[in-house]
Amino acid sequence: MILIKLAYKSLLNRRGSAFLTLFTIAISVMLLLSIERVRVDAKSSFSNTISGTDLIVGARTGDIQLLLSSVFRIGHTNNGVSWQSYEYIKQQRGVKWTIPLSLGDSHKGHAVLGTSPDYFTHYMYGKKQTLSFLQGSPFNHLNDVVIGSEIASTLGYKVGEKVIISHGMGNTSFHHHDDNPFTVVGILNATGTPVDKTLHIPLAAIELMHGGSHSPTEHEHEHEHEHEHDHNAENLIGEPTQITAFLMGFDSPLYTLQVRRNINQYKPEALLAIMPGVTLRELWEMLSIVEKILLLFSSIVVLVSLLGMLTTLLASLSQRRRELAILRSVGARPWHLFSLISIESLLITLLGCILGCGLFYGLMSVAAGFLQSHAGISITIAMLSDYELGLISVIMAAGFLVGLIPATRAYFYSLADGMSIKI
Amino acid sequence: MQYIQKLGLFSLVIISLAMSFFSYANAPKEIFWEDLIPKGHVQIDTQDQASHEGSEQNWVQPDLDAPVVKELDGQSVSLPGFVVPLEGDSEVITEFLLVPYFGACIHVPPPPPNQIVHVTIKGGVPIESLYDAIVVTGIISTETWSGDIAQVGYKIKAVGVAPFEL
Repeated sequence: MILIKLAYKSLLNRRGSAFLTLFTIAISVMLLLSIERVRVDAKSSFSNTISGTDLIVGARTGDIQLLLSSVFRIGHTNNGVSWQSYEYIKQQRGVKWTIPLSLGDSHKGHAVLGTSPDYFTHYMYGKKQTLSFLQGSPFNHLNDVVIGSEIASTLGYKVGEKVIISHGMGNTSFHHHDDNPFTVVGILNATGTPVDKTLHIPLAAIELMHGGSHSPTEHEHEHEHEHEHDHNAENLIGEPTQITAFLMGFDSPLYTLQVRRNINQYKPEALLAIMPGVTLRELWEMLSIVEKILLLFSSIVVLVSLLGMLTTLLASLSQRRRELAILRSVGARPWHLFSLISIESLLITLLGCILGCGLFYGLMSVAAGFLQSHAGISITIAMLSDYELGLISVIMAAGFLVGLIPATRAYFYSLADGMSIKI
Repeated sequence: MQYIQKLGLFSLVIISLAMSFFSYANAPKEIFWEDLIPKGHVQIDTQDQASHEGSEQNWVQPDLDAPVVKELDGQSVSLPGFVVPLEGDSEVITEFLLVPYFGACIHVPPPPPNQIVHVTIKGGVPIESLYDAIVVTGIISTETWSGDIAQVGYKIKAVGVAPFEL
């Protein structure tokens, strides 16, 4: 006990260099934890985004490209799927449900997704969880919009509010829709997926916004007259010329391989069907080398900081010869000195780790919003996971081992060594 | 990370070994893919179908009604194969298709339904690489589901997954 007190006092006496060393370790711990947390959360928020979907079908492009653009709204596809192909594939044997997706429009920088009401019953995220409503209900009318939780909170929209959705390319082709806004009818619960940042409107409404040249004229007509009428029988899907992609679910997953093959071989149009699970795996395999490099570099930073501590301790040893000799003269044994130095290094590492964790939480709470809005990664500011605690204990152990070197040197200092004055 | 996955797989091996040891009385029966085809049924060779492509026949359904061996229902079996992941998180796979050859999901025509097994495993299993064959141990059942017409296929509720050793 007295040794710990002594070590603490001794450190306090040299607080300048001790604090700098401690700070170096803290920063390296923060770096390592942050990189690992972002890596793990990025992975889990990606794999939580889609579940229960057997196939994603889009125009032929790369597997990963299609997955990223259709589900994660990262990048975009250059082509779509023609409505005829969609209708044909939909009728094939074993197909339980399909959800058409039409992307490409935006509202104040947030994605607008044109889809069918099936989206709210069949789309699943996480561990096969369906979407649920915080308020309101799915859209029933052409001018209804269902918004994600983050849109509701950042833009402050409430059920019943009117919003104007603009075509991503400009507003010349639909200027008459500016004064025909959409009404918010539902707000979804937070999911931690890109759904939170999406506005969902009926597929037919997308077609109308795009000039509606192919939509039946009755729609336009309806539009001018209806406002307060109840149009339950309204065709929310319409007959678009093409959609961006669609999701499919089967009666049994045993159909998946066969249908996937058939879609990829589909002659009338170049289509691509991907299994989300397989494509995500491919993405991880591609990224695994980057992950390893990141881990390697942050480990090296930790190592450098520990070496910094070693340098400081060793340098201070020669200044402290006198102090150590005095301790010896009042009865301290060599192993006392050994423990003293070890405890010092352990104290520095421990305080460094604690400060590092504090800095890590500070950084995460600052960066969480940015990462969510810019990279779609939802960061969980939770307790340290077992894995992270494991990393910290490795750092502690390494700090202790490094501390053994100056401690051993202190052990072998003789009493006379410190007492005789050296130049 | 890999060490943890390896460790996970290793512990699963241990668990499945232990299980097979303790339940020695009804040790899982080792079966192979041929055992999943009823005796006397002439399976259409998927490679033959491949040669039909290029013709205008497009929506090939290879033997979608391929029959299953009803006797296997409820038996404890172990079956080797390759993984096509369906569900899972960033670490483990909880639901996958077991197929007799690698790449069944990519280059070659897929096997008929009686040569695909839908595997679910509680808690999931870390699969390091899809290139490695595995052995799945569990209770096999012939699953019937209704679509346009009633359809059957195999399903395994897995208790253990181990790397395949020759």
